[in-house]
Amino acid sequence: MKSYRPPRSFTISLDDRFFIRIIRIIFFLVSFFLLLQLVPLLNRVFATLIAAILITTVLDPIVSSLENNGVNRIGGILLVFLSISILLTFAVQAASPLVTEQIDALSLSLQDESPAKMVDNVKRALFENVPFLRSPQVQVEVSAKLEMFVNAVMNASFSTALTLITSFPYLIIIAFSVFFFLKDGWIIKRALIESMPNRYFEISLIVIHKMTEQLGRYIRGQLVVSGIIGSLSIFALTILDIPYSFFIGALAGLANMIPYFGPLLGFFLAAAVALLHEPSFSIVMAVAGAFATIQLIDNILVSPYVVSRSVELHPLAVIIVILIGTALLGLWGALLAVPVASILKVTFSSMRWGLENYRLKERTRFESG
Amino acid sequence: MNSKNGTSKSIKMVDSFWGNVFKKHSSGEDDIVSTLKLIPLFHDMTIPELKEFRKIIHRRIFKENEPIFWEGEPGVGMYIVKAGSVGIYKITSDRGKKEIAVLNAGEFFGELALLDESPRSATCIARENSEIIGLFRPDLFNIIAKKPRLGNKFLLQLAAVIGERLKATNKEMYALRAKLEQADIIIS
Repeated sequence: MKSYRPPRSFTISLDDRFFIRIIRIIFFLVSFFLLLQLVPLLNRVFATLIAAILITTVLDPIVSSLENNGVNRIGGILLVFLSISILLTFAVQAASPLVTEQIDALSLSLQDESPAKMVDNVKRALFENVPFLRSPQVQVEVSAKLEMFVNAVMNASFSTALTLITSFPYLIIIAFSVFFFLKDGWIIKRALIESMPNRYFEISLIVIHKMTEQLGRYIRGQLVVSGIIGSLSIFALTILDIPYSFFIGALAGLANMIPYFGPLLGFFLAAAVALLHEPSFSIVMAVAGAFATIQLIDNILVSPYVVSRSVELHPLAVIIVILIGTALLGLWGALLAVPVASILKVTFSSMRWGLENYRLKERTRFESG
Repeated sequence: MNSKNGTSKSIKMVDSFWGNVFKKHSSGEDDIVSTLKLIPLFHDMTIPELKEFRKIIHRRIFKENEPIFWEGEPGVGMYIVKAGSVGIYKITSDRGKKEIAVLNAGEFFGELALLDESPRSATCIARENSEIIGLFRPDLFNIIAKKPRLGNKFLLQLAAVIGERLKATNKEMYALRAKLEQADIIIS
């Protein structure tokens, strides 16, 4: 005889804490999304702040070394500002004939020939010199890509020039911000650390310190390398008598921040401009030789001593990050993608180090009894 | 003793978080300088030098039973008990804790963490509501870089304090060794 068995019932009990965590995550994501909506409205503010922080990062070690030599901090800051003003005045005076000449040449050539005509010149030079480009199908493809590239470069350079002109008042705000960041930066950092609850105090202190140290080294390294590569490129292109050497060299310096692809971008631009004015294969070879030498100098003499290896990204990560940057912000996105990704990498790796080494869970458990 | 209880009670009134945010309103900065003056590490410092250190130290309020740091966490710096008291504990295998020392107002701990990032050798928990002053390695290194004379002065004092502790430990070790030899546990 079988005894009666009540039907089995399953009850799923989920911890209240699980729901609280889910609600917290949703709340965090919604707040993050809402904050993201604010970004376009405040982009000038962010750009000003970011520029001020970048300049502060570069100038801070100089002010600190003056302070080490007995100059008081405000005196040191004013001395650095004065030196920069004098240097800038000299640089502008020295470079202005070259820059105005190149701007005049550029505007003249734009009046004489439309971008489409310029593209035609390059196309003709390419098709005449490179045999495998003679197939009509390939020519159609190459023409489309070339026009897109030239348009993108034109748009980016004109919008940058416009932004630079309209943002002159912001330069004054940036200068003021840099002054106060240099003078009171430590107070801001300290206030941020002090506002942390005891549980997160030590971890915030050490993580913020590690982060600012690594980021400072990375940003300074990148700017120094860009400056050196930019100057070398301007010098080499001027010697080779390539038009717009100042702009192309400066862009090559900036593009050098993108590992693997940046130097190629600078070379392609210089080669295209060279072909535009002198459709011969030898000038392209000369430009290639110059860029290869500059890269050699960078890889042997500059980067190993200046750039921090801990921030290096995997080549695949570089490609993905550039694709995302290009999709979001176009040419500027491509240029800024790697530095932004490197900054995020440092931030997350410092935070992960903190979370792995500090017993936050145990603290929470202990404090809640 | 009464004044100490009074201090503890007044600290109880202040919530830990807001106490840390609005610290400047709740306590005079000169108070911190006079506390530092009592610590052997700062004995030889002049008032302007102590004021330099006041700029980089952090004042924290800990509630009773609140952990200050845990055994095994990377050491970041040293702490000075300004008011209240803290206990130093070893966590036992059954997740309990064994008190190995109690530090009262004017005493300091964790000074070795000023030199490197090696893990904390014990857990430190506030035994009552306490006011703690912290001096941390990144800030000390900053002072060493910016004001080398002051940094060296502090490092020499730190070396002297660590030397004193080493002498005391050696003395204790010899005494223990002698006891063990007497008990024929160590033959050599």
